[in-house]
Amino acid sequence: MAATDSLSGPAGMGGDWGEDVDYPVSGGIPPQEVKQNNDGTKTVIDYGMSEDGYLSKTITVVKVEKVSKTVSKAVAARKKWAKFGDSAGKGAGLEKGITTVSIDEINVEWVDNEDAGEEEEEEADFAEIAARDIQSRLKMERFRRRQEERKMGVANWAQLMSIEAAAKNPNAGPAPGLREGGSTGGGNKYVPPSKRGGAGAATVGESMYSRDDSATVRISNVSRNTEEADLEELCKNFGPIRRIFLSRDRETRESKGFAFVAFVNSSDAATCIARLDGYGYDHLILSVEWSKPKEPRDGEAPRHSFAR
Amino acid sequence: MRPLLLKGHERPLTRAKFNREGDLLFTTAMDKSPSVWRSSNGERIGTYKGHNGAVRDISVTWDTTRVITGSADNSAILWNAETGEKLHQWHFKSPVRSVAFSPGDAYIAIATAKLMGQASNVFIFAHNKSSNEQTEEPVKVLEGHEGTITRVLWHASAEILLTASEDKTIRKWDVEAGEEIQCVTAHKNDIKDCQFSADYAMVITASKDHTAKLWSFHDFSLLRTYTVDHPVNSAAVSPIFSHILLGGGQEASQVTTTGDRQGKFEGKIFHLVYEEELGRVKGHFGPINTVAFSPDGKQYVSGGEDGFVRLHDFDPDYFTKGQEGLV
Repeated sequence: MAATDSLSGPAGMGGDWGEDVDYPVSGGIPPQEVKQNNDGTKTVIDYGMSEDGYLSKTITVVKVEKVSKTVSKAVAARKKWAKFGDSAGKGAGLEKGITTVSIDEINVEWVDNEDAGEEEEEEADFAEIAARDIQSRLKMERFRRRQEERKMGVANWAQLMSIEAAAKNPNAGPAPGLREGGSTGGGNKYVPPSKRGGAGAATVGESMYSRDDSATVRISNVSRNTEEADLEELCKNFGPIRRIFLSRDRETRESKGFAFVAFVNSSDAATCIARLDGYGYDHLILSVEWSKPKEPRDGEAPRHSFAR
Repeated sequence: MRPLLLKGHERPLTRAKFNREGDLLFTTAMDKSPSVWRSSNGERIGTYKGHNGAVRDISVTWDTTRVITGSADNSAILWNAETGEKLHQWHFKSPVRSVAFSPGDAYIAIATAKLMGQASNVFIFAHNKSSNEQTEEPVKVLEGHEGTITRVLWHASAEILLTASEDKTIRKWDVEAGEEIQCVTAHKNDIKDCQFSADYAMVITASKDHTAKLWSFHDFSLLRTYTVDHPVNSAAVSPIFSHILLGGGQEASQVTTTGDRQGKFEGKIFHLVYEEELGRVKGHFGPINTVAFSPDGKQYVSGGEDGFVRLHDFDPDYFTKGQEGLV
């Protein structure tokens, strides 16, 4: 058997917003008006009396959908049950205020979806933590590796230098810098560093930006993990170092892969070039050459190549 | 989906239940008016007027001609389902907590609360289907529970009765002999609800101890445990999918004191086998006291402490998800 249900759309429910017309009652309550609209909906205008004697007009737009369903005889018979109890005499259809359709669309929140969202959030957090973790771990790893390499390098260098020392200068004193300084100045007279080592002459009288480059070497193809301390470790074997500048990116502070090492003595710098050029360091082959001063730009004082 | 909100009750819901075909929905609440609704559109057909206290449970005959309700007014009333006419009233010495027609409607089981010095017992009455005249004397009284019986259910055979109680146990009874067959301490706290799966093979219990448990009816072996973070007031097994529906929430008396976190008053769908939460349905403003699947599994109803009955028609989405969830 077939039976029909009247389903009213959400617009037909509630309808409290429509109770908007208030004026004193003159005469009785007008009867219900029903208008058929062109779009298949129905406009129902109900009049009622409010507690304080005002007439209320309720306009509801109702869309009636007929849903046909095949049901058993017993169910079909139950469709005809008259209302009783509190619903007695309420007429067919839904009672206002008793049955409403939820205004909110309520969906089953599937946990996998929801969790995906949550997990994404969590994952983002987690990723952040992990990233920090990974970074710190990488840092540790890098540090450890460098320590090892350094040790290795030092060992190598110890070896290298022992050969070097024998070949180079049998008369070399314990402090090459002092020796060089002493020989130029003669006696106990103070000699400014720029004039030491015999290379200072070229730069005498130049601006403060133009530093003495004569004892400076440019080491390029330096691996990114290398830091100033590593370079110091690497170069201090040749002689006293005045200054080490590792070129870094301005923002990320990452090494750009080249460095300048200023020795006190140009002879040490020369040794450094001789020994280190083509030396494999931290999986890269270093290229070491004399530092060349930057070509002076127009209208600018010539600057030292590693001036900050 | 847009659930239908049934606002017929003024007090917390105690029980919502579909009839056999699922076209009618019966609800009881702590107010005096058990109600019957059309499940297709939420239209209220009527209320059964006659109780003088909170109504705790309702049961419908196989053919939906008669309804029995049990109330805290120490009585159970047999009604004509269609007209709301009161046919018979049984009086007890303590509030009635649960009622059930036996399959075939030959008997009615009525469980009373442990209160006012009375033990919690199950009274079995013969049901005279053809007449309004009913016998006043129970044919059997099942005694043994130490706490209030919260749910009484007939097995499909109509020979075995299942009871769940606030004494944390579930028990099986041989009705003919009036003897207890088996008793299992099922939970660590009060059992609030107990429902059969559609094939009567499994029983799900819902407890205040934050779990629902699935039992084999045959030997009361524990099959599955579903754990949530709030008391479970009601649990149901989907008749079509491997789904468990849980309803609960912090107790009403606790809500204001513990700082209510949103999300505890949701209906939760769990996978029957994997014990995993599959989904949630929000909507209630208070703990859910009762949940039930419609017999075709396409609807579910939840009744809350907030006095609302929410009748949900599952979206097509649910059925595709449900199919995926099937093993």
